[in-house]
Amino acid sequence: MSAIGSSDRGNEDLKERVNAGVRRAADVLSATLRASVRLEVLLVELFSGPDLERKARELQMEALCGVQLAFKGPLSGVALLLLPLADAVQLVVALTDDQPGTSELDSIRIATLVELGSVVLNGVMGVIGSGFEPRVRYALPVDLDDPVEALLTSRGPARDVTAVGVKTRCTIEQHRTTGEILLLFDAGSVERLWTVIGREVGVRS
Amino acid sequence: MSQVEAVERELGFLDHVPMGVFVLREDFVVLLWNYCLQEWTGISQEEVVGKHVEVVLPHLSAPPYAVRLRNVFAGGLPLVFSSQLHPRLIPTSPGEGRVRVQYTTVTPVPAPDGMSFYALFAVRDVTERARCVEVCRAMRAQALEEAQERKKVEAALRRRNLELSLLNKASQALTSTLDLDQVLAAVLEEVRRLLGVIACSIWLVDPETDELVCQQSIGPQSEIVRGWRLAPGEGFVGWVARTGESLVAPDTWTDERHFKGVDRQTGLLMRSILTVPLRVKRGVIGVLQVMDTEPDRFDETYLTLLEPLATSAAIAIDNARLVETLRRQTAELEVRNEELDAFSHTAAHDLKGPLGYMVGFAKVLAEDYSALADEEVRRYLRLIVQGGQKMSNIIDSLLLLSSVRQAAEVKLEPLDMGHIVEEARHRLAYMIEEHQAEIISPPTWPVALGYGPWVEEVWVNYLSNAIKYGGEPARVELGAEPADGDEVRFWVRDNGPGIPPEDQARLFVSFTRLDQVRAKGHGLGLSIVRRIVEKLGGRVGVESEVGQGSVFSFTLPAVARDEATGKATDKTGEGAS
Repeated sequence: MSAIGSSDRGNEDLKERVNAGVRRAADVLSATLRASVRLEVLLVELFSGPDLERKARELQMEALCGVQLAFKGPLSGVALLLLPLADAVQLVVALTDDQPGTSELDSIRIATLVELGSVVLNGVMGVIGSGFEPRVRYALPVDLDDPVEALLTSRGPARDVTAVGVKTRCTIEQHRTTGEILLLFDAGSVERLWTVIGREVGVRS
Repeated sequence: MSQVEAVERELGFLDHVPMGVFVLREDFVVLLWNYCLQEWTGISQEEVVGKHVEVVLPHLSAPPYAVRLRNVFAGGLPLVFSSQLHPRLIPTSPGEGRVRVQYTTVTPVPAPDGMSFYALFAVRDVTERARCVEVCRAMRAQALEEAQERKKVEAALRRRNLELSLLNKASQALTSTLDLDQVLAAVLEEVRRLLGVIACSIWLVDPETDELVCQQSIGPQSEIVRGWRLAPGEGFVGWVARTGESLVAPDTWTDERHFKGVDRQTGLLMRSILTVPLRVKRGVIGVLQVMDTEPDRFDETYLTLLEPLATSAAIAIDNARLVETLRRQTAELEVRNEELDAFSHTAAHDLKGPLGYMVGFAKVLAEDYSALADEEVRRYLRLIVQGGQKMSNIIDSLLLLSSVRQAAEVKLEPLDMGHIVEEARHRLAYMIEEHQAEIISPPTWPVALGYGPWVEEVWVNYLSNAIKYGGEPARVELGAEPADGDEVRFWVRDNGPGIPPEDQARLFVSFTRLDQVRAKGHGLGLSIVRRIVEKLGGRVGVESEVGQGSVFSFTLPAVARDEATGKATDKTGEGAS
């Protein structure tokens, strides 16, 4: 596991892209919910190999729920938004004036969560996935059915997958939760990402 | 071919899918409006296709939807509009005032020009799913409610089981014995074990003073508390005994009724105290109290547990007391019966002797009077008079004994012991002279409490025994001294042969006559002495060694200074009148 360091220009640019995506997502959420929404990036990390396996096991220890957005094309993989289950229920209840009733995520609440998650992931992937030719194609966002570990397994050996972990704090009105955006890039994708980033950095400089 | 026609040709098959589908161009012109949507909205394809969407769905072309759609038109990421956040995105109604719950996704579809993208809206009817969710939620809520209710019932059952267990164990303990101390100890042990309290105690009302006496207590420093007396109404125990109501004191620091003396003595601060009355038919006989050092320790649950136990305990205590009274009375009756047997035996035996020779001499006189010399006649008559006198003495003693036994209460008064001893000596003047006895009395006597006529009988008995069974000539010394406690010990020392230890033990037993030693005595004397002295609150005693004479003694309550008749007296009698 390695934190993105300021010495690495590409990493810095990736971090900047993540921040820009998150800001965009916050704007869309504020407009959609007609509420004050603040998204803050706390930490951006890169994982691969054993670090990623450890990260997956760590995430598996928590009761999480989430939204996944698969993408393919020049950049292929899946973007995940992971939230603590209890926080997710509270968030949905608070935003929709739903009756607290139960502490579970039923299909109606899941749909709401998927919309919220898709806004965040759209923001981040909209920035990260831009600049590719041909275009990155996206599937419809869906809720995360399987454990993160299963998702990794299904995408092949962890050593072939590179992940960008973004720890994000979300504050909506009085409600605050800390979630994690996990971008899993299939083999080869991340290299293409560095290329695009490098090219754009070169253009700017 | 227009774009509408092109879209119709490409996506016309969507007319037949069972979900609402429509397509928007970048300029918000509707290119497709399928049959399903036409049916749901009541808006025909002719009304909307080829027209700006604001004609039917004006909100879609305004923020925030327009902003999010812009990305789709750019071939970006698909959108999701959930039913909870967008309940009326596409206004449709299944009729009868119901609302169709929708879940809408928007995906970019490449336009024929290969450059731009259309937005394909897919509107799914999730009304049934929402209804199922509602039903599930309701069922779950009901299940939760039932589970809560079940928890409550289970908690109540557990509590009830605990109560029953407590009562059962306590009842077993209570019925296993009729010994009062054991009953009280058993009750407290069960209470402490099952309630997990620091200490508990039982206080019973003293029927004579109405004070509450700590009869039994367990816990730290319990021996200090045991035997404590509290005035009627004092402390929590007094309050509960007086009112007959249970009392939960959550914090003794803030309750003025708390009697802090016990805490001071034990060094333990009891913050929570629960007190319940021990009630029987005739009223409150005491209280049961449980204590803990933690504040706010007891609630209604403890009260519910303790009150039924207190009811059982009160009955058991009452029964045990009754049994104790019966045992005592039975024992007294047995003693009395034995005494009556011995009494009748002694009376018959002792009276039979003198009566026998009186009859014998009278018979000789009646039959042979003329043949007898005058001197012989006078001797026989003297013997008959002596026999009568002896019988009279025995009968007097029996009457005295009877009066002592029957007397319920006797008023104790300060005694002028010098005068009483003098009276006794006067009654024994003939015997003193006959035995040439020397009687040595102290110059003054301490003042004791007693009943003069009875105490005089004691002296008569002791003195007559000392004279009769003392040395030849008899030397009898009298004296008095303070004894243990607030008592005065009076004694008579003789110069007789002494009494062996095995005989000493039987001396004061009712109606025993030590035939070998006291051949001339009758068995009533020392029994009467013991009766009298014990009735007056004292004790009798004897110290003797064979060959060293004997000391017979009795004690009486001493007179306190303020009880003396106007004069300063003390236990030693100094300054007594």
